[in-house]
Amino acid sequence: MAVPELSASIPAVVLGPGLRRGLRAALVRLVQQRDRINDLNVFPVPDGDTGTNLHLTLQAALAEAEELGPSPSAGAVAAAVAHGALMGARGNSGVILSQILRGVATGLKDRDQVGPEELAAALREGSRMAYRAVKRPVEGTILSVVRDAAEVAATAAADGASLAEVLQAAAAEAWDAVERSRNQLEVLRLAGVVDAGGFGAAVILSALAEEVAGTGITAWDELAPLARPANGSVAPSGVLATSAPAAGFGYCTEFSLLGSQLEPLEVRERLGSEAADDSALVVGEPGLMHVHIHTDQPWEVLSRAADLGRIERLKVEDMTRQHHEARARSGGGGAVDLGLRGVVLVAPGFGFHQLLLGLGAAAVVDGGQGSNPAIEELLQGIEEARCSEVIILPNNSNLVLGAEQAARVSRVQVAVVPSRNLPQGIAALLAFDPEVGLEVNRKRMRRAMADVHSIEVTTAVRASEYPGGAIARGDTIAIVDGELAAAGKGVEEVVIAALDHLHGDRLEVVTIYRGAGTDSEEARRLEQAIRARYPTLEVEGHDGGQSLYPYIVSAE
Amino acid sequence: MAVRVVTDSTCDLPREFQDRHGVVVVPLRLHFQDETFRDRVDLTDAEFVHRLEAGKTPPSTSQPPPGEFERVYRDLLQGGADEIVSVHIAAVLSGTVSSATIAAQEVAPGRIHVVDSRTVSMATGFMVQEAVARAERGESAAEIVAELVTMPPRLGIIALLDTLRFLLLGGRIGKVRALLGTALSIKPLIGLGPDGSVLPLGRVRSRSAGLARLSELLAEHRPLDRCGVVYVGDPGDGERLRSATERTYPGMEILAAHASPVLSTHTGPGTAAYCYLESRSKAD
Repeated sequence: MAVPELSASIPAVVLGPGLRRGLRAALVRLVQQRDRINDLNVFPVPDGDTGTNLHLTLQAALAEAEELGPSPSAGAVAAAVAHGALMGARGNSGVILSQILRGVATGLKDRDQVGPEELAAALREGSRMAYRAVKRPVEGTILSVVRDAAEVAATAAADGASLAEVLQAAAAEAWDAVERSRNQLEVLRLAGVVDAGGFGAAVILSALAEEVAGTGITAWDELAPLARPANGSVAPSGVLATSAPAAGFGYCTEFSLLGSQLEPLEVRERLGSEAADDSALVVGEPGLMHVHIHTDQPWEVLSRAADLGRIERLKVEDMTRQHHEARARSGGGGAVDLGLRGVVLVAPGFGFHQLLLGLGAAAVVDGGQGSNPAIEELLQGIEEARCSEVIILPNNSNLVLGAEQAARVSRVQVAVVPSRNLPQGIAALLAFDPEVGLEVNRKRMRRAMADVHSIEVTTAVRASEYPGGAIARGDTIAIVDGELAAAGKGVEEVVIAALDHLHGDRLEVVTIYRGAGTDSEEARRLEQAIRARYPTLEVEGHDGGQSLYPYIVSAE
Repeated sequence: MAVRVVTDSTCDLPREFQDRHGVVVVPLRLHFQDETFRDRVDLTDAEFVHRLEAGKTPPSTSQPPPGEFERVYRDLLQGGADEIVSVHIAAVLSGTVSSATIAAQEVAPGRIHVVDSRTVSMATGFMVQEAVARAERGESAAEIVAELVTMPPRLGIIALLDTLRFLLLGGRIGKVRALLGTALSIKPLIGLGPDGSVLPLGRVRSRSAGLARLSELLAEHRPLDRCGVVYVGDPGDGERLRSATERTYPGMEILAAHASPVLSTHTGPGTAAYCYLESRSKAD
């Protein structure tokens, strides 16, 4: 840090009004640095508000000092500031700052003016008070930054330095301590940042030094490197979570952004550095955009996105976990993890496979109506799961016997939960808990299954009749829970008739899985038609990728 | 020996209880952009839920400043209290305990006992109720605290959330990240671990399935000494939970209350939860 040359006009002591001016300068500098400090905030909770908390706390502190009239004593200013901070402290960092200021006020009690030794003593008292307030003080935080600064100030004062020199030495040491914090706290090291609260304390001390010395410190622009990772590669405007694994794959974060009037490029900029990555996508137009970003901190991206518009269809996938699962799966035969429980499902279509693996399926065996897997393939699926206890969801009534056969011959313990369709299978999968035994799981999964209705939409291959009337060859028909329940010429008409049949007003969630070759526009129109008919229903659409059935609908 | 009980605005006890027993409630702070509110003082629950649903960014929350605790403690001691027991939201979830501790040290360290409830909401409220009952029987603060510190292992919260979004935005996702990774929208079931951290308990797709599952999960914990229901927004689901529980635990007083805005911020509208205290026999 560059120390400016001292000029003759520098005061030997500072009086109350000067102290107050110094704090005003500190407030101005904190406001300037506020966003940067927020971005540094990973400890103790990565909620990105340290800068805001310090700023608002100092603002409340100064407000009391402003009430004092034109020429208060230094002690009176310090006392007012301490009281204001105490009443207005916001957040952890604000509370610690309030304790520092309280200690400083104790040190300056009844003083008219502050000289180098008084200042050093007051800083020490501030540090002592702050340490007292924290149960388990941690090195590399605002606490150690202020302590180190206070110690250097004391040494400088004892060596006969002037007030300005003491302040500058303290500020310079504070910045060094901030730089050291990078390696003192594991979370900071992982995130490649320095401590946010310490950074804030250094800003305040520097501003005081600059005001008292009457010269701007030249190095404000040099602060920028402190906010960057040590390797200098990418400046994270966001930060890593405290629990972020060192070699994490992050989260695949996808959502629709509604109601923002910005262009996609601007949205991309505002979402932070993650959005600048090559793999990030922001597409669409003002009003409706789709965002796809890989980030270690979905909450950061989401909170920025929430400032821009409404978030819908949010989907966050833990890629680290997917990676582990994929690796476990690709291992093929061989060892089984003892004590590991998993679910194996039979499902058609790429969309369903992805969906089920995302929901935590240990393995998915390809198959469905018209292409039932052989017992051999079921056994292969069980092997792939690499679990010592497996639950099979056949998702087809014709497959239940085959699954039971596979269960008997498998070398691991297998239970069959006889799901008759995919909606039932998904409901059962959601109820699965790897922490409890097969019997408890089987009971819970069967119960969960009972609450879900399935509507399978397909085309009549021949003319026939059903209780609702005649069906012509080529008509669209809906099979509700295994029974033919509606028929007609158009998909929307038939699905809505099927929902009426299920008393749609008693349902809560309808999920539409469109088949391979089904037009996504048509699927969206179907969603809209259902919403229009049943406005309170939650309706969502997914790509199932199944053959034979243009739509499979679950209703629960 | 007059012992007064202090808590914070997250304890979710009915106001009437607080008034009747002279419990002093110190409000946490809610920040909507640049506006700051004292939890449940400057903002009603209804206004808050409206803002939460309408607003683009959920508010942030922070502990009461130490100065506010100092004022409360001083007022109580000057008003004739001999000792104070101050019971608060888990220190792992909020800095409230730290603000209270700083104030206690400043005002009268020997006479003010700050207790970390290690939980939140009405589960903290059960500790407050216990403290009040013992204070009214004339127990000393030390005796009351000795009982309170045995309670956290028996206290629990299980909740149905409408979405994980608010937990995600609040940065307090913890192990619940295991519930992420799904393209289907799900409603998570979560609980608080013994240390106050958030744990995943399951996932459902419809509210009715979730409420039924909550009641099942609660039944796994019987016998219970106390049970209560908290909700965010529509009281209908809270009532459904309460009536389900009244049948399971006939004769037990089951309080129902709207969750504090601070809690609601992190769980979102549509949350419904049980808070419970297991009987001692089971924990022993």
